[in-house]
Amino acid sequence: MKTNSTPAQRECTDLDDAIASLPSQIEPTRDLWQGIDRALEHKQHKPAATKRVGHLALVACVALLAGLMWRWQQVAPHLSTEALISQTMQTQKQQLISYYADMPATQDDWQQKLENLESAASAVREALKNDHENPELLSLLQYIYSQQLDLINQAHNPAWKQI
Amino acid sequence: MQQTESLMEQGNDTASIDIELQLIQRAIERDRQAFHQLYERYVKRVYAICWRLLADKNAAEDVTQEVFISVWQQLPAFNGRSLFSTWLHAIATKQAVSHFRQRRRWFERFLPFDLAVNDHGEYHDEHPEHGVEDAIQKLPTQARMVFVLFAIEGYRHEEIADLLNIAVGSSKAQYHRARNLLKQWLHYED
Repeated sequence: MKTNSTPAQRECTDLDDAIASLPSQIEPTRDLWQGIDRALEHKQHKPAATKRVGHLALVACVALLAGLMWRWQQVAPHLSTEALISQTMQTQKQQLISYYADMPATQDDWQQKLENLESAASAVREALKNDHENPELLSLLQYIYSQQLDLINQAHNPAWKQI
Repeated sequence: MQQTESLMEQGNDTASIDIELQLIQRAIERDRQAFHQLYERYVKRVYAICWRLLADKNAAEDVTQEVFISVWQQLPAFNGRSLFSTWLHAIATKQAVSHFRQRRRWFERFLPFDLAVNDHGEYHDEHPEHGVEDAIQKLPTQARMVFVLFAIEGYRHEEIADLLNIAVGSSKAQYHRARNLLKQWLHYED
């Protein structure tokens, strides 16, 4: 049958055959049930308390960020925007890690992910050395920092704990 | 003989559906063991949807977890008008697309939507035994999502346009773009 078809028809059939042969199921590389079970357990037993902790952590972070930005502008007006953002972030990150020190992490590889984000931030900081006030680079740096804070929050107090 | 096997398969299917309905009912009554069995039945299917749409193992695993947590929450509202599997797949697709949108919102200011791969560049298949699967993962983001939804998950272009917030014409164009790239990369013309 195939020998009578045009190259274009054959092409389509081959691709369609290949797609049709794809497995409908793929096994995840890690056990996902553990995290789900923990989330369901948590939801059944202490939903209100965790939600409150999450909100408090968020409010504390925002207040701390605002306070530190104001303070640095008072004592170190000469700092570059990048330095200001980075210093604020470092303090905030340490505060957050201390805050969650007694809580077990729900992700095993969160520190590795944090290191990856830190490498990305480092690359952007390096680029900013050549273009100090580039708004897109500064936004990207802020974004990476916010991802770091999200990651720390997510690893210790993930969204499913707040559902 | 074939008829007998077919009847046996039908019998097994019916038994399997009955067991599933019981599991769903128990899960609605907040039985976590029953929900675990539903998870075991469907986790690989849900993960396949998430992984193909997101092309990121970690994100796909996280979203798969979120899907099952969301299903647990929404289960009491499941009315049984559609198959449980259909309902679950719809939740998984929406959750994966939503995850992608949230992630994209930040990056779109810096990177074009389709930067994931260059359209005219060479594609080198490192794992020939998984040629199509790997090639799909290497498609530009929007083309990949449209292709997975249309060609693998069986969505219509109208549904895809609605899900991805794009025009129906864009969905069709992205699908053809994906097909052409796959054919080119996988040398199907030979």
